[in-house]
Amino acid sequence: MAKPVRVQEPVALHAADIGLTPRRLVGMTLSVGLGLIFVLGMIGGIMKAAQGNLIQLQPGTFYALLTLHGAGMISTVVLLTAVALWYVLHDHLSLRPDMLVFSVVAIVWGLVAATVAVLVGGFGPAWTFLYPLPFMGTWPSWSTGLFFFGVLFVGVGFAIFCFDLMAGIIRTYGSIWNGLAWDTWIPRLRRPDGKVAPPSVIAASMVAIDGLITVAAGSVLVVALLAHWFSPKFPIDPLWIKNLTFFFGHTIANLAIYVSAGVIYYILPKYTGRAFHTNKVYALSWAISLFFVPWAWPHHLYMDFVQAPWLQVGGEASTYIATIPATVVTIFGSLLLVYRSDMRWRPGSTLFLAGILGWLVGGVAAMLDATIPFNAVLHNTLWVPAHFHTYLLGGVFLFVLGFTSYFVGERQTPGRLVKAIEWTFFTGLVGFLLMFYAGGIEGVPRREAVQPPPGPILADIATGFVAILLVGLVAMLIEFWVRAKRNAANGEAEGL
Amino acid sequence: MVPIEGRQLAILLLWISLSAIVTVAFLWVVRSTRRPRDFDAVQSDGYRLRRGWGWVYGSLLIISFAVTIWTMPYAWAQQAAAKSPAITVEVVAHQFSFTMPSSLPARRLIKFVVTSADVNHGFGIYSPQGVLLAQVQAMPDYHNVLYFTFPGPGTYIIRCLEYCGEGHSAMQQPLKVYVSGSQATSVSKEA
Repeated sequence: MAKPVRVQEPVALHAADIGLTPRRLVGMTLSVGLGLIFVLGMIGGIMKAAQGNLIQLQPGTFYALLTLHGAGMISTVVLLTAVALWYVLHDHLSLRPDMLVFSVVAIVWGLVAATVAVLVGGFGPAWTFLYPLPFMGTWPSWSTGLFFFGVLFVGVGFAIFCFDLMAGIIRTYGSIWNGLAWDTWIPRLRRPDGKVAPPSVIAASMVAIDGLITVAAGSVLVVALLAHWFSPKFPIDPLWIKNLTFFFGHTIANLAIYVSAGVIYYILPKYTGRAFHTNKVYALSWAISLFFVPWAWPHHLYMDFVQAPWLQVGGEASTYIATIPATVVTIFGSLLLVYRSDMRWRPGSTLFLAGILGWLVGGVAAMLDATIPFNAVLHNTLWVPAHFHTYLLGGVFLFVLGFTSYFVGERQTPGRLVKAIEWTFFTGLVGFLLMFYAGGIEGVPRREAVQPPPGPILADIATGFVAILLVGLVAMLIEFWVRAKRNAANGEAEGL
Repeated sequence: MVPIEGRQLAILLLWISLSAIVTVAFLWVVRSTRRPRDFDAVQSDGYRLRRGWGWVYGSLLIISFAVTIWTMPYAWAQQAAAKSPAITVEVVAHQFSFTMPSSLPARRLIKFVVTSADVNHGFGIYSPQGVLLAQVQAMPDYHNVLYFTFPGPGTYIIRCLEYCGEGHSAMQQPLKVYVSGSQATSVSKEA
């Protein structure tokens, strides 16, 4: 008699099996991510000090640190905002913790690979790694390949997050179109139960679609660069790959803001006691974002005069159009939610409001830069890091901090201490940003180890503000940590 | 400090004034939370205001787009505006210098044909006072055409404006601009 065959049951990895509840998982990721932001901020301060001649750095070291700072910050900010959106939607959309684990692990591995390439190999073509510079530098060839694999891992991690989000939306609302609330416009899409996606889900739907398109383009980019790395005979057109690089780089950085909008829609009502409601205007505005955000990349190539004119002019038009939903719906809607509300002013709500202001002020600067005749005197000057530091550091990062404050619980907030921390942090932030703007308007080039005047004196002042900013950030993170422990000891989780 | 004039001055004034307006609006909203009201009481006014704001903002964007389309730096816009034939100057960027004439005439339309022999570079023209006047990218395998007229004589600076490697900061060189007719031309050809 033949022995019965024992079939091994497939073993699925569940985050819960390894003791990772969603809250613990998100808490760990926030801790690692915020720690990384601090370290990368220190690197930014070191670069400023070197530009101000306060310390000496070899140009190769400076550009390697610049590469690490840029690639690390973008990846970490994307990671942190993704985790925040995942947390606020995971119950509603039945998102899978194990998918988040895979996503976080892939992004962290990508960051590790990029860090080794930079710190051990000295890889330094900046985080935009414009072809053919990665293949013509003084760094060893292995560091080039390792960095590209790192970028691929970061892209894969973000794609896993987008897939999970999309699957959750389809499970809950029947289709991604319903997730975008197109059923408010198209009656035949309406669900029998009349359930309409809330604004945070609309934002998540847009992020999932555009995120996957972005990662697909990024994958083509990295595969082409890796093919050239394996075989230098593999032909690459410099203009084509420049377009692809900025399509990927611009859109993924820009999406961090749209991920944050989903978090704002969920959390701001907790402080104001009022709710965002889905309607036709929200659905239309996010449809505009869905189509026009990915079309804004040509504004990075305005100074490539050989680019097709329709792309240049279309890039300006798309960039303009993409700002309408953000300005008229999300930012205006947030202000309306706060206006004459019984607002509970806590560290989280202050950070969210300040972040929206940073988003707007940085957005104004971005719009000026995206206007072609102005771009001719702003492109690749310090105006560029000025505007994106304003809406990433002074916008998206404040949303991450605001979310963290909400996540650890806003009870037992030490009022005076928090005020002192906020003043320190914001003084450092505003002063640091203003030095960038001053440099930009003075025509000081970005990405220079040694800058022409008045770059060095502005860098000296900026270094002081960076120190103040980092002191404020450390104090804020310590206060969050203490508050988290105290609230956890009292059995209180997130919220007010 | 470099003098702030021309487009840079317009940009600075626009950014400061628009940022000040939105900051004041934010502070006003923050202050309004001292006198809470029911959401229903403010919502309909808010939606009306939003509609108005949408129209104003949209109109501003259309005006800005219409104005800028006539002042673009591209050949199709500049050629149409040119009143005299241009002097063609070829520029080749390398890590970390430019191959180009060392002197050019003032107040003559120059057609810079810019390319790169290796990686991506930028070709930025700075005035003798250090003001960034114009720029174009230098890309391998492609030729970018920049039309530019030097407003007066002096020593201008040509500076790379795209990060191109370890020597990027040092990639700049002087360009003597003379009054037309005061010096023999060293440009490649006259169109």
